[in-house]
Amino acid sequence: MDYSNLRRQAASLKKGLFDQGHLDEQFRQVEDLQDEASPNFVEEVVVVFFKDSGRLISNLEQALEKYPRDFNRWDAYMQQLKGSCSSIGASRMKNECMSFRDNCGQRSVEGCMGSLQKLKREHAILRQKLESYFQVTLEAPPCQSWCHDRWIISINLLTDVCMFTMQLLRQVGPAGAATRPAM
Amino acid sequence: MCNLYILLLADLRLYVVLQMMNGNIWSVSDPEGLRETVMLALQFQVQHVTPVSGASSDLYRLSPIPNFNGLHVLLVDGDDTNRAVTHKLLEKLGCRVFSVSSGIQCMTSFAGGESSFQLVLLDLTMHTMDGFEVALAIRKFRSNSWPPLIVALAASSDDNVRDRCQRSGINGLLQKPVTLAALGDELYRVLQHN
Repeated sequence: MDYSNLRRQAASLKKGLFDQGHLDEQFRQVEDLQDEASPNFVEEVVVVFFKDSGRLISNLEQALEKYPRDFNRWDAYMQQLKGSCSSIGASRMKNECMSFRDNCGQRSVEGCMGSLQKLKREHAILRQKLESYFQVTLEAPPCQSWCHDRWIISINLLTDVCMFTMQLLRQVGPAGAATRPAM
Repeated sequence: MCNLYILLLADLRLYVVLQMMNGNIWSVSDPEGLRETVMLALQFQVQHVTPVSGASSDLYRLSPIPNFNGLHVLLVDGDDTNRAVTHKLLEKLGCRVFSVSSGIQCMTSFAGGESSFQLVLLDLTMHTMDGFEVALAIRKFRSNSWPPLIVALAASSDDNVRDRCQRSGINGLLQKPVTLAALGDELYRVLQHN
């Protein structure tokens, strides 16, 4: 099984999520929490998030019908949803939450309805994209995400250090040579 | 875990070898020919780097994550997602964490007697009970041990919020979403000052 190919796929899916603004830096904070003790932490949190947010959106829709023009109540639901979105880095969803709250402030029912529809769309898109991402990552054996991105920085640094060491040794020359290896 | 080996061989060929968990080996070499025999082998463990808070993802600093050595923390947050993330953040900082999802559960945890919470991390945006009320209730609660420190989590950290926090006996404040670095810094600051 070509795991490197799967990891490339996963990396590409993840990059897409960030580039298209679905996820922001806070998602990386969550990823950093994943470790040997909780190897599926990210996926677990995401599952909780979609369960919660699905419920909140559904409650909000009921409230929109049951309590017309009750902008304070609608805003309270959205404040909670915005909090969840921001803690996992669901950036586009968070923006729609903020837009909904602005519409509440302006007491615009149409504006609120419009924002809610956009929010539901972003919710569905993010869910689908993250599901694809987890499907691919779970097929490849675990390797911390930081392995791929950040060791390159360390490598460059260390290569420079080695080049410098070599230069130094060349300057020192034969007289400064260290011990011979044991035969 | 990844191991990085830098091997400077007898004829000054340089090998940088990265051995990763999945067994991949990556190497680079710079052939040089020199007479003297020098052997140098350095073993590195690739460090977990943390991003500088608020900066772009290209900037990193190698900073040790603070460890609070089993600090007993009570986390009060009504949102399941936030609570899961914050709980793990606290564990990552070496805290012993007990999480509850409401102000009521928070107070019953104190009344439970077995509690010896040194710090309460309290989300102010709960709906069941006002976060400030919870803070005041904690302050009023008489126990054998010192009253715990309280750090609040809020959507905004403007002056209004800060004022209310001070008046409610809250020792520290963090703006959400919370990062590992910010949480570590604020806990450290609050513990230092008390």
